[in-house]
This record gives sequence, structure tokens and C-alpha cells, in this order.
Amino acid sequence: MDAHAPAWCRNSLLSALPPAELAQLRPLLTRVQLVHNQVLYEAGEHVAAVFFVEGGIVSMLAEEEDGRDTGVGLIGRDGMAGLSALLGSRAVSFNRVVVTAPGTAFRMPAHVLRGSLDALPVLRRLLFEALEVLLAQTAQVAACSTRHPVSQRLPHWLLMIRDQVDGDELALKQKTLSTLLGVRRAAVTVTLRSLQEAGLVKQRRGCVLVCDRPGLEAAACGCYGRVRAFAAKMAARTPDAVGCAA
Amino acid sequence: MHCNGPVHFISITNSQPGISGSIAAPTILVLGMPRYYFMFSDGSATIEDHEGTELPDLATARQEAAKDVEHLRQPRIGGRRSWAGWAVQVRDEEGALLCEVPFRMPAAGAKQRTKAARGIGAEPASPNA
Repeated sequence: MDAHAPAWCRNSLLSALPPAELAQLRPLLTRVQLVHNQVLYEAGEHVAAVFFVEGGIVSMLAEEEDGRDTGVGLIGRDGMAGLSALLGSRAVSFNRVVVTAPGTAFRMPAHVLRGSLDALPVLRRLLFEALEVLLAQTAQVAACSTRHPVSQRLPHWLLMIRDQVDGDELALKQKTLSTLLGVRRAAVTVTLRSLQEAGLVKQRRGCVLVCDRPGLEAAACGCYGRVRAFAAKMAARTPDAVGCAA
Repeated sequence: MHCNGPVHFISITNSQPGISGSIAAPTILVLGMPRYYFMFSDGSATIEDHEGTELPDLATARQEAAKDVEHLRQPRIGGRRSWAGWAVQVRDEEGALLCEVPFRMPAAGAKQRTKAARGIGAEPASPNA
């Protein structure tokens, strides 16, 4: 797959396309900056454009009564923001979707994406697969939030983020992590300190450095491994097992 | 304790408008809300806060510290750590201690609340309470 991964594109879905499909798609894509805290979709907003994330982190947030947000999903270079656009022209983003860590993405109008899928069967398959994985991730995060302690949930989120970026340095403030986990910042302060004492992470100003990745996986709840295993299983299916009528 | 919180400042000069670069008597102002740091201490061990939170005033910071205590008391949030003997210390950007909120209310406080209840005509507390 990586033999023809184009140097100009770091999104995994686009990089996995055969050259012929990528050549058709490329003129339809516009590279855009993802600015910290930029809102890609407000809750309930029609999905007019999709974003193939290259770098940075995009999160899906649920708003609570007191106005505070909680993270319900994460999108990075392995995915595309606006996957629900696959389901039809009236697709709406249920959650607020924001840029949590800055980067870049390839933007494309949603209707153009839908119109191109018949001619791009590999892209179609990869996108529906990504949608299945996103559904699994949001379902698992929901269960995780109700049952697992922060001491396990924080490693889970750190690993999900680590998977989407290059290098072990995660540009995340405690405040950002507290929003994603739906806890007060004090809970992140205390839990990061425990993870640091165990040698799993190091804290720098405004970032968390992953020092012991296997250790972090062991500290995380089973949620992280479960979704990863599901994603791998989906990717290993034969092509005709996936896909549905638009 | 050393606080590394950023201090936002702007320099105001006495120079004539339009004349750039001439700094006569710069004045330092702090913009935005003050930043408060919430660290945890049991008298010997400490968990530092290098990020802080911008809040309008100390009264709000104290309320937030009290909320932190209640939040961390939940086992799924604060972990298996026993918080007995710990307190949240609220410090300013220079590291000065502004207030402290302990994880356990002292026994004397309970007696005072009971006295106050009697003072406003409430039922006297049972000696077994």
C-alpha cells in the first residue's frame, strides 16, 4: 500500500488509493489549514464539506447542560471528518466537531465526494470502513466514559491521539485533555502525575511526551485495544464484503 | 514553589504617537484574567500545576478548588489514592499561597454549623449526632 503513497499526502485513506483513483480525486481536493479550536461543524450543522485530515487532531464533542463539552470521538490522519456525508445529501453532524490540535487537511465538497464514489470503488470501500470504525470508536468511548476510571481512560485517549500523529510528543494542554475526557482539569493534573511517576509519560509545557508506549497500553482500559482490533479486522475483509447502495 | 505561568504584559510609553521605538517610561499592565495555579499537597508530597486556569478572582478560584476536592473524592476520578491529609493549594503567578481547601472538613466546623442551626431556632442537635 505504501509503495505508491504520495509524498504530498499524509492522510492514510488517500495514501491507500491506487494511483488511478488518486489522480481522479486530486483535482477535487483543496489543502486547508486546521487552526486550533476551529469549528468544522456545529452540532446539527449540515455536512457541506469533508476533511481528509493529514496532521493535527479533530474531535467530536458532546455539549453538556452546563455548557462544558465532552469528547465522544477523535479523527486524525487515518480518517475523514464528515463521514456521515456518505449517507446522503441531507447528512448532518450530530456533534460539534472542532480542531483540537492544529494541522492540515484536504477539503472537498460533500456532494462532490458522493458524486465521485461510483468511479472510485477503493475510496468508497475505505470510507465505509472508516465509518464503521468511527461508529465502533464512539460506541466504545461512550461505554468507557461511564465505567472506567480516569487512570485508564487517560491512557486510552493518549494512545488514540498518539496513533494519529507523528512522534511521541503530543501537543496537548491539560485543559484540552480535561475537555476530551469530560473531567475537571485537576483530574488530569493528578492522573498525568501518576503516569509520569510510573515512567509512562513526561510532561512538558503544553505537551505530553509518550515515553513508554507498551506501558501506556497496559495502563489503558481494554477499550483502546478493542477498537484497534476491530479496525484491523475491518481492513482485512475481502473487498466484496463491504459497501452498500448509497 | 516556582510557578511558570505566563504573565501577559503590554508596555505603554510616553512617546508621541507616530514616533516608533522611543520608550520613555514603560508601564507594565496585566491583560486578561489572573491565572491561578491549583496544586495538591499533604504537607510533604506535592502535585504541581504548571498550567493554571484563568479565573476572574480569588473567590472563584476558591470555589473551583472546592469543586476539585469533591471531584477527586470520587474513586473513578481521583484514583485509589486516599486523599486524607491532602489539600488543594491555590497559588498566584508568583507562587504565593492564596488559599487552601482541605480534602476533609475539620470536626470543629461541624460543631459550629450545629450551633448556628440552634441560633436560628432549629432543633438542637441530638447529643448522639
